[in-house]
Amino acid sequence: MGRSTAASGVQGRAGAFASGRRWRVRGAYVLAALGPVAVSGALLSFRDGLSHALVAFALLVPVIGAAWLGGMGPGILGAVVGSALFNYVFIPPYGTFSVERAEYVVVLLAFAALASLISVLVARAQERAEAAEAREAEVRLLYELSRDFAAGTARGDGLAVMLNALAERFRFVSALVRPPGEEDPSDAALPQLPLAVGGDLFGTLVLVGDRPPLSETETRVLRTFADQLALSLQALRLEEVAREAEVFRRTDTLRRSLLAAASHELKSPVAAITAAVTDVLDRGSAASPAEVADVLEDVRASTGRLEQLITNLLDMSRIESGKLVARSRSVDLGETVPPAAAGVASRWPGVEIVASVPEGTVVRGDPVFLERLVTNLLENGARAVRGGSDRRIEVAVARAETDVIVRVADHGPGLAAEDREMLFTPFYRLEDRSPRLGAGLGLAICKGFVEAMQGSIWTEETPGGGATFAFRLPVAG
Amino acid sequence: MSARILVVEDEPQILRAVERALLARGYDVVTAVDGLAAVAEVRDAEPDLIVLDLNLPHMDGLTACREIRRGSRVPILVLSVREGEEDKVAALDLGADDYLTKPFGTAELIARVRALLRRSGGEADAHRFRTDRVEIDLEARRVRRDGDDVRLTSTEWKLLEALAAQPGKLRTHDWLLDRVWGPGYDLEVLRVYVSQLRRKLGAEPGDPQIIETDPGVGYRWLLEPEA
Repeated sequence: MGRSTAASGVQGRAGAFASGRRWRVRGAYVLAALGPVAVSGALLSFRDGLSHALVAFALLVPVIGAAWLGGMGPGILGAVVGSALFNYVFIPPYGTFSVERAEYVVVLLAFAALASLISVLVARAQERAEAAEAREAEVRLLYELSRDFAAGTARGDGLAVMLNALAERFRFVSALVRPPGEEDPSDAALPQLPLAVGGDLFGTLVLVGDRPPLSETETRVLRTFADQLALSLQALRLEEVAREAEVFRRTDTLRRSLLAAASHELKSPVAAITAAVTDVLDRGSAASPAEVADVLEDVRASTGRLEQLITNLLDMSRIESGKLVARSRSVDLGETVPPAAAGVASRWPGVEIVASVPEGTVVRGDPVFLERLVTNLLENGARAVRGGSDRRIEVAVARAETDVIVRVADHGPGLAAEDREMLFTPFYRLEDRSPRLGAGLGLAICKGFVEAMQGSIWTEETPGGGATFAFRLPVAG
Repeated sequence: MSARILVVEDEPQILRAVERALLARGYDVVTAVDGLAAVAEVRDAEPDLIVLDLNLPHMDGLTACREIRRGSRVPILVLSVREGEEDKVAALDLGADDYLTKPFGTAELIARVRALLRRSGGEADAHRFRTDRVEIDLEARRVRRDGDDVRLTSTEWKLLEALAAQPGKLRTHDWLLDRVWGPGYDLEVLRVYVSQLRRKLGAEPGDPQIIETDPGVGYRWLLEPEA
């Protein structure tokens, strides 16, 4: 329905173009009517010295011309007018339509038949030539547009390239697609084509520019490519739907990961506390003071980890909601790194942290963010080395032009190449299939903090094995 | 000689708490912090029981469980924060004997450990059970309550034997249905028969002295066999 109205719009313009041809046909009729008169006039003064054959040939010229210009109609008209004049002007008795001798009747009929036959043949040949030309133009246009469309599809910017190609090949200024429901009333005067696949309308193709009306051939080619365009639009729409579904799926996965991770990571310290405390309560006075001290030490470590996790969860929600603003000022790393290291060491007994920070290393950053950043990197390292043979974590600071680079190096199992990309994604965790808040959340938070302070963070390999996390912040001042 | 228990746990504080609790009760304790080490320790230390965390690095607990079962019948008590019934069933299907959800009190842990150790300690052919009211003799196929004979149908006997064969072991619904009825039976059948059996054995409703329900997973026989 929508399709047929817009298509007839194109046809209307094509019809206007055909009016050029109508003018030619009118000219041909004029030639058919007046041409034989002119020829007769020219030959009139010496008609007695001319053979009837010569007059017949001279009269055939405008007839053939009219047939060539305007086809069969003007040709036949020319033949009739020519025959009449031949009789009236050149066949005695002159000035009448009566014929003196029987042989003149034969001459006249032969002329009329010849003129009609030639008209028909010329007109038909002319039609074929025009059709062949039109076909050639159509094929060329089809070929060129196919090539343009293929190039557009290959380069991935299909739609824009296709529209440009359409505009260029049809000599419009531009071609554009109006999405369904966004048709512009000011387009009404322009050629339009609906872009539909099956019953689904994907938009309307509007061609902008001033050019002669489209021929029938051009209209046909244009429709073919409008269909092509509609298919491309459908493909784009489907892609978009698939992408949305993927985003939704990922969000959903993330949400479920968060639940699973929160369950595991929050319950583990609680489980440690419960087990330690109930053991001492069950045994009562049988537990030695040294054992009770051990238990309390473990409880302290577990509550510390719980607190870290809760802080991380709160930080993460601030980062995710985009509410994180750094209050940057000059911060002395010598005053930030050691307390963070001490805190981590208390939560991870058995892990040795060696921090060497040259005095007076002052960076520009938010002191709170910086402390959380270093703490998370150390926590991450502590997780990696616990249970390993070399439980050292080294913090090193280096100057690089106007930046300071801090490296936290562990001697744990190190990072697999495929993990590096994902490391800073929330809830991603190495080694096991279940998501955990621990390292994944910590590193995502590190990235959030570093970026809020206009710095950057990356991973390296520790010489001799293990993972190194490094970040860069500008020197203060 | 005291029983040797392998504790597999990657959280250091939980590992230490479990180790302390077991050592205090006189058990010999070996530890491992990942799945691969656990499988190796089962070979090297030949433990009498394994306390296995499911969330482990290098080889997760379920895989470790399957690996251990390839060459050993040692009782496995699984520890995990995963509460889902399907996780429990998966662990039990892979050869775990019982399941304890974190957080847990050490008293419960010790009780489960004891129950599992008893059945592996050469008492697997034990067939007599006794409470203050009930006497059960599986070999003689006789149940007495307050001195009177209790008649059990053949299905009830099958269910009783399936449950009591391994005291302390958590039996899944599917395992029991398959063992007693064969394929194609509904869970409701099992529920009805378990409650019938409990009534005949004189258990009060809600009193899990003999057959304990693990909601959504299965049943556990609680009576200790008589020596």
